[in-house]
Amino acid sequence: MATVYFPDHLLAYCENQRQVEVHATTYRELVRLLDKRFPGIGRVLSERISVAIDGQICHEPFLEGIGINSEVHFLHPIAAG
Amino acid sequence: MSEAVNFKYIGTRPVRPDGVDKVTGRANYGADANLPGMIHGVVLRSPHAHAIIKKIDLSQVRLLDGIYAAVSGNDFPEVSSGSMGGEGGGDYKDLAANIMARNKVLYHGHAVAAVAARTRELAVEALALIQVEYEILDPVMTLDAAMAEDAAILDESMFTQGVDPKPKYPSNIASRIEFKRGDIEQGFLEADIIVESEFRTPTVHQGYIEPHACLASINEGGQATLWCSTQGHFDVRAASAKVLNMDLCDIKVIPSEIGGGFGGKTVVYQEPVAILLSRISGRPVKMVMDRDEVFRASGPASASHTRVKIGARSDGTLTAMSCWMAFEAGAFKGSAIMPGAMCIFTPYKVANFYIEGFDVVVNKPKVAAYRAPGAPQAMYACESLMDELARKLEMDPLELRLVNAVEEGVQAAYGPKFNAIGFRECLEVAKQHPNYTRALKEGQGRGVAAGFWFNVGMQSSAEVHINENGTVMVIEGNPDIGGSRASMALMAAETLGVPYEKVRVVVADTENAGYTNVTGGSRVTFATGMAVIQAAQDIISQAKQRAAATWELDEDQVDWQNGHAIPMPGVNADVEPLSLARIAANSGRTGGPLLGRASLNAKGAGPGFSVNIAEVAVDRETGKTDVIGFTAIQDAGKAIHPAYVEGQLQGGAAQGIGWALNEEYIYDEKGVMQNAGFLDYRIPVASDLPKIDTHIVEVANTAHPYGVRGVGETPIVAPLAAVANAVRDAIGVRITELPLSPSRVLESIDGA
Repeated sequence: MATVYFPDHLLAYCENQRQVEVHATTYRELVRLLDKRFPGIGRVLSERISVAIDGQICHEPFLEGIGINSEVHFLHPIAAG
Repeated sequence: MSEAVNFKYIGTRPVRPDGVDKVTGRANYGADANLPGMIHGVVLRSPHAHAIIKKIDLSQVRLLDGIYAAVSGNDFPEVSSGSMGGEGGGDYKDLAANIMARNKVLYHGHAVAAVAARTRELAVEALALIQVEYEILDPVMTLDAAMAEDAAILDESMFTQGVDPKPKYPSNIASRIEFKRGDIEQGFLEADIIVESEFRTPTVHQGYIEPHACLASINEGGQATLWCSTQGHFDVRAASAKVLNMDLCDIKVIPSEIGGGFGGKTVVYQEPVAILLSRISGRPVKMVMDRDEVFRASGPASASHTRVKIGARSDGTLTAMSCWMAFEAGAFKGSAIMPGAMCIFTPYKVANFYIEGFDVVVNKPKVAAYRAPGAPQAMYACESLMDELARKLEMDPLELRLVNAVEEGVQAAYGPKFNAIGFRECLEVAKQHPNYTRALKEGQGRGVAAGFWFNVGMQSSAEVHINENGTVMVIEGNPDIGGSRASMALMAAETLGVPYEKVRVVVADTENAGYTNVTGGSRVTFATGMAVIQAAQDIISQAKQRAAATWELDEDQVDWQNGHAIPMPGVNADVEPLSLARIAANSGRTGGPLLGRASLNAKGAGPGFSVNIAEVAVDRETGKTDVIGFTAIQDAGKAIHPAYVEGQLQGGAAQGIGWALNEEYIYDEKGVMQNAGFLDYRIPVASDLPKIDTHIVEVANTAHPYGVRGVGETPIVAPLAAVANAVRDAIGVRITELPLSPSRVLESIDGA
């Protein structure tokens, strides 16, 4: 099961849970499963957001793979110069 | 990848492919584009920092001989609110209103109209005939004024996001953010020592030498071609299409060479105006900002106010860190408060932290990215207070940082666990560096500070074409700001096994390169480099197929080494190795030209850490500070072209020193900038600076085939605090507001 960590700005969408366990193989599936558990969070997680999967940050992760023991963190997209 | 890899081309220092043209004046920059029949566009800018536009009358100017077009906000289509996406984010409605004011001007210099005329001089004269009626409002010029309960409101439709319950009244505070971990109160209770202070930084500009410039030409069929100086021509295309309600495919953007950007050229200002003027006039329209316009109307970096509090045990172990920080966004929401908040405590392991941040609009130009946006302001505050903590603990400041430094496997303050990073290595190098221990004279001081920036990946495309003689063309879509043509050529050469001198790199326009995100985020050598490597690997795969066909072997019986196809070990084939040149020469008989390509959304950008050592001499009679030594140490992952990595470290140091000592926007009480020129807005020149020593640490980023992590932004993060800490060391007084100008230093010395 992958461990999903929610930052402060998403706590309102996940019943204030800091972390949950999810069995998913892709980011798309992970979002779908999270939305079943926390209706409405899927829309938030499908908008402009970055995700760190096992420490690797990815913009627009959609099809990114999720491992059995992956750690998933959601991040605000980082603008840069 | 392994750090022990012996590269043939990577890590060498060849001359950059664009170097000769740039030093001989042949290179074409934004203002160098010209077309037959070209006319010149100029912008009328608001004389007020905050005012309602009651009326604009263009009728007189349109009657003038030699004037071909005149436009105001009314001539642009309505743009609805929507995220800009791309690299920097933002809102298209705000972008459109920044390009040309509609009902309200929000800063002195805000564009209100534009004309295109036979000559630039005539266009400038014609601006006087445009009649604008304003209702002048009180300008809101500081964070304190903007956040006051009775502040004049810039945007009556803006309600603070991120607060619960939702506010009933509009505010200049666009959003509030919060990050926390652990129990902050308990963390401070566990501390043996607590330090706290507040710090302010001013509005500063990136100071790129080349002003914004473009040339637009639109034909009768509605297809526009735009030449411009930009960090990202695909983003210019998208923004121009949105602002003008055009189809993306009707705009072709050709990037010129770029004379500096540092984040400030990720934004569109006059390009859509030039296209519109060209459409109306039927002629090509050139628009070039002068320096005054660059300062008044293009995006600077946020002014900031940060309160920090740090608790530690007597051995230096951090127990709690908290901060309150507010960043100016300028006229429209969207400062770099989020990345600033995400990185302020990132270099340190601390179980308990609390960060509260505010994005605040004021009557100044809308801020734009500036190298590691948000990080220099945030880490100036944190690193200054870490220096005070070290003093209180009577501890070496590098040792204090080593005690608390993050490393692989530690959870970053912004969320995920770090993979391999080189912060500790940078600190160890600094500790052993002779510049850290050499003797200083009376009146001199030394300071250290750490820097951090995330770096990003994002989307890139590349093609590799093999010419008929085996030479190589690399086609990419990132304007070359810091020597990326050379790094792309080196990675292609290394991958293919051909000499660097046989590789040419082309920065292609929006119709000749695959979609590519901006040159920014320290992403090009990492992400576009990966695309080039993959495109080169595509070539190798094809070359092996051609060799296999030539030798009547199976494809998996062919290997690729040193630029040649050879039979795999154990394959019984009496053949000579085939070079890329020979395979290319015979490509017509084996399937046609060799063309490799790759497109990707790169993940796994390696975070960048740095440590700077600043040495200063302060004249106690005048307050003038001279930087007499500066050492920049940074983890590059792998330096593809070490000289250009060193150049990034030195350039970031120079800009950071300017931010620390001299640079600031100075406004009068009406919100008019008083120093909109390089004589009065003092960026460092060569004679102001010592030789900046560099040391490249190489802790490979495992997500990149050659170990690359970005290097372009981190170098500007640490210098502010390093210089401030050195001045503190020299004069014995902590100054908590930048710049450390002679008057401010003198005032502090006299007040001590």
